[in-house]
Amino acid sequence: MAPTNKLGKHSTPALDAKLQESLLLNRSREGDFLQLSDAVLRAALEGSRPLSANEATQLQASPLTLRRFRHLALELRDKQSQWHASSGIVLAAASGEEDAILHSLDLYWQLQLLQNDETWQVILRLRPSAPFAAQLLHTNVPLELLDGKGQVILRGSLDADGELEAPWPYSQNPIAHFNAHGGSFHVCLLSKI
Amino acid sequence: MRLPGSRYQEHGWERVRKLLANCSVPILTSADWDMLLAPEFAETQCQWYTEALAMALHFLRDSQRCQQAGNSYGESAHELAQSLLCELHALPSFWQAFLQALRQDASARHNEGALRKKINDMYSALRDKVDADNYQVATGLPCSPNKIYTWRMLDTSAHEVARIFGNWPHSRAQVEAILQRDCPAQPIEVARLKAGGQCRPEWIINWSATLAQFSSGPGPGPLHTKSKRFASLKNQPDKIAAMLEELNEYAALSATNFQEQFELEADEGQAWLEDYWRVMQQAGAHASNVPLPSQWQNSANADEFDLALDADALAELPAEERAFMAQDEEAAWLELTSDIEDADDDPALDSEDSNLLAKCARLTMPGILHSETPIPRLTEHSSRALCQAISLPPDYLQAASEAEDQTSLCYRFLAHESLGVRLAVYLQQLGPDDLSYPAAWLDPRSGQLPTCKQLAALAQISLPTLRKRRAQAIQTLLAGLGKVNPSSQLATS
Repeated sequence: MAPTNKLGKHSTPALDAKLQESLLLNRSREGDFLQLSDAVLRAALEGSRPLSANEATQLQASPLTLRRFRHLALELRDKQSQWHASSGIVLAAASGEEDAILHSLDLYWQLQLLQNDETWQVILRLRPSAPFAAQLLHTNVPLELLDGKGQVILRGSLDADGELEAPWPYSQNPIAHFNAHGGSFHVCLLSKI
Repeated sequence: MRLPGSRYQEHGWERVRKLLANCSVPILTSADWDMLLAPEFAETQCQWYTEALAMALHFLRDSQRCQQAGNSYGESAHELAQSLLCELHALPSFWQAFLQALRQDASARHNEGALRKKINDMYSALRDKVDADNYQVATGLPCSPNKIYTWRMLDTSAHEVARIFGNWPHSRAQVEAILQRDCPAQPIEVARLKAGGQCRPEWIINWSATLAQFSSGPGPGPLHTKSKRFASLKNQPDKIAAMLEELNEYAALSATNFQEQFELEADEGQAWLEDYWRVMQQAGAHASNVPLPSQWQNSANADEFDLALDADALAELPAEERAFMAQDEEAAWLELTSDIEDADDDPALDSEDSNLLAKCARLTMPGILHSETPIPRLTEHSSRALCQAISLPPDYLQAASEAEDQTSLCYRFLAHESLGVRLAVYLQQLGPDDLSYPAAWLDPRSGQLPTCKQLAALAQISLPTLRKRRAQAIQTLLAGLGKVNPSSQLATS
């Protein structure tokens, strides 16, 4: 008999995640207290300073500290999700025959187009001073670069320098392609689509 | 009163506490009290009591009394009672203190009022502990049950002062005592407070000092009682002012967007688990065994407020009374006001309910402790008979086993255990009717997981043994959660 499941095959990971969460959090302990400071937990979440082995053990052993960790993690995710997308306009006047640098309207993103013989290379670069830069860099969130018609140009996570680079995927040269496809580009979180 | 993270401090608490007491009384009075009070059975009895009460709450979940609001975050009295019950299970010192109180007052068995009071005391102390933890989670600042209790005292006192000011000019003499001057006409403070101004700390101190002169009820105010719990506060108007200010700030903040915040956390669900595994992996990659910075160890429970409490006053109290902060006279005084306000919203337990609850008690009674008979091993053939004997479909064992995901955390770490024990883990952690359970796990009669008793029979062990094995299984899982990253599993399935 095949396993039956009223929610289909996706319910198992859901059940597993629920059990994990319950095991980690729902076990108040006598004499528990906040074992790690907010600064330490935030730095670990943002990736700027990993926990030491001792700290990791303390975090695991203290449901109260884990609950604080969860609170901070959700807070950070909320802040991070405040950036959803940026857009830029590609001017029709550009000839498309030479290297070009485009900027998103909010100036958080730079799009560099490099000609390499017959092919093109496209580099998406995040401005380090963008308010959401630290989180995007440390959490490896997948991003997507689209043309004005919603076709995918790039997909992936930023590297440590805040760049995402790939060969230009279309046969038409980049500026001509943009001009033929809405004259604009969009950078957004892949998970939000 | 609302504080960051708190769930049990609003007016709806009265409903939660009455629900818990109403359900507990028939369960406890039907117990074998010799066993209930025997120290060596305290842990077993706690399991029995929490299971019986959980079942009782479950039966009553759709009743009006359960569905009433327990706080303004949208949680019902039923939800709050249920989650407090889980905490009781996790923090057994509150149950121990409760049993100790019963041992010291043998009359409680036949005196419902006395029993109710002890039940109330247990849950009142527990809710302050839980909310102190909730406050720490929400703010990252240390907090103790004492501090929550003090906040509530100050909040109630400030409301009392506002009520007296609001009653001007009839309350003139008391207003004069609070302001410490003659008031031939309405004082400016009265008008300001009415217009939304803040209560001054010295008003609370003066009100408490003179309360006995103006009230025939509870005697001196909370800062001036014989037990001196809050005595140190009467010389610390700055501390009172700071605590009142935090209360007021949060009340203003939470009036507008607390619901949103609360929903946000509920919606995000398990997204944080990804962060947890990432942080744990990064910690593993950089494992350096750096010794713990000493300042964090020193800040362990360093609640400046506890240190400021009058140590002598606390030392005078017997141990169980220190645990039961709601037991002394300030508590009686605090409860008084709330009881007057909603004496009418507590529908009495009808006899049908009482019978039902007593049945809950019997269903989970550990009588088996006294007469643990070995259970014969069943053959494959007789597994159908076994299922039928406990009112499950004959092919339940087989179907439920096939529905288990062998890549799941529970299966991978507990493959050596029997199905009954694994299901008991789910039952304890996620309750009887989580939406993600495979249909084949559910008892078709109830639409829920089988009860502990049924699961014990399935595993062919006694109920106490099942509980023991379940506790070990949870320890095994927790150890596993420290080592393995199951999120890769999550991503691929």
